[in-house]
Amino acid sequence: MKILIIDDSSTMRRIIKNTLQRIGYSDFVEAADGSEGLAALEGVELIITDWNMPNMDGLTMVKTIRRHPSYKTLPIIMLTTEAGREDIIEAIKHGVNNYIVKPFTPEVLKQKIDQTLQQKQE
Amino acid sequence: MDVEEIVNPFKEKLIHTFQTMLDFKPVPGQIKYGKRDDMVSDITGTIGIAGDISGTVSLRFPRELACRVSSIFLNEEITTINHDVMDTVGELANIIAGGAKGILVQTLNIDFKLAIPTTILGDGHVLGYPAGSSVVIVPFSMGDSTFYLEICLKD
Repeated sequence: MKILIIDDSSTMRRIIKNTLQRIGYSDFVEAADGSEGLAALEGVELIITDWNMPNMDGLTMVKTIRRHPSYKTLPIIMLTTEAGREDIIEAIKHGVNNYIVKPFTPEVLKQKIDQTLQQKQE
Repeated sequence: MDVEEIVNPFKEKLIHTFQTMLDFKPVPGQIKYGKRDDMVSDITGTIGIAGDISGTVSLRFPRELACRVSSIFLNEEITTINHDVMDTVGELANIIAGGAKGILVQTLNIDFKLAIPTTILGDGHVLGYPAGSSVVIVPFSMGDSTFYLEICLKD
């Protein structure tokens, strides 16, 4: 499964990648903001994205993706520092499938990925 | 409003973040009020906040400790300040401020937006603030080293 990791922090991208490797994933593509993310969608089966990023933030990117007929059901997990209930509701409303607040553990990441992929199958 | 009510969620999230991502529980010391020129650092991750409260949230480390924290964070040996260390320190400030925001919205109905984190590098630096700001510093012990959580709020 090809996973697109989008975060402006290169450190966080590496931590997410290392964690994904620990839980059994190995095919990744990376982007540093929403614009780069949009340009890297080809063949992607799951997106893990930050919210607050320069140039184009994660929520704007999600809204853009959801307007595209080919990507209406592409699973998207938002992995962010934005921990407010209103933030989570807003993200889900605009097409995010699941939400993780940093800091995260491998267990939580695995659980949210499993849940998201299962929802897509249903 | 008691400043400690605002500062405590940042302390709590700092400890939680270090425990979750670094498997280490830093020990908070006594809170200091006001700018302190004796509490210097070599690398600082800082993030602006704006909303019901406005100011900055900073994490200030000595060089050696910043490298040690980054080594654990990235699971690789880092001995000198590089891009990874600077990114790690900024990202930690970001995670802590975002987590504290979640608590403050829920408990005190205080909401704010986060800016993009910035990292400052310079041996023995202190942070300066405009007049009319309140500064709170919480020292944390990690082994034999000390780092600081420094919060500046506009009055």
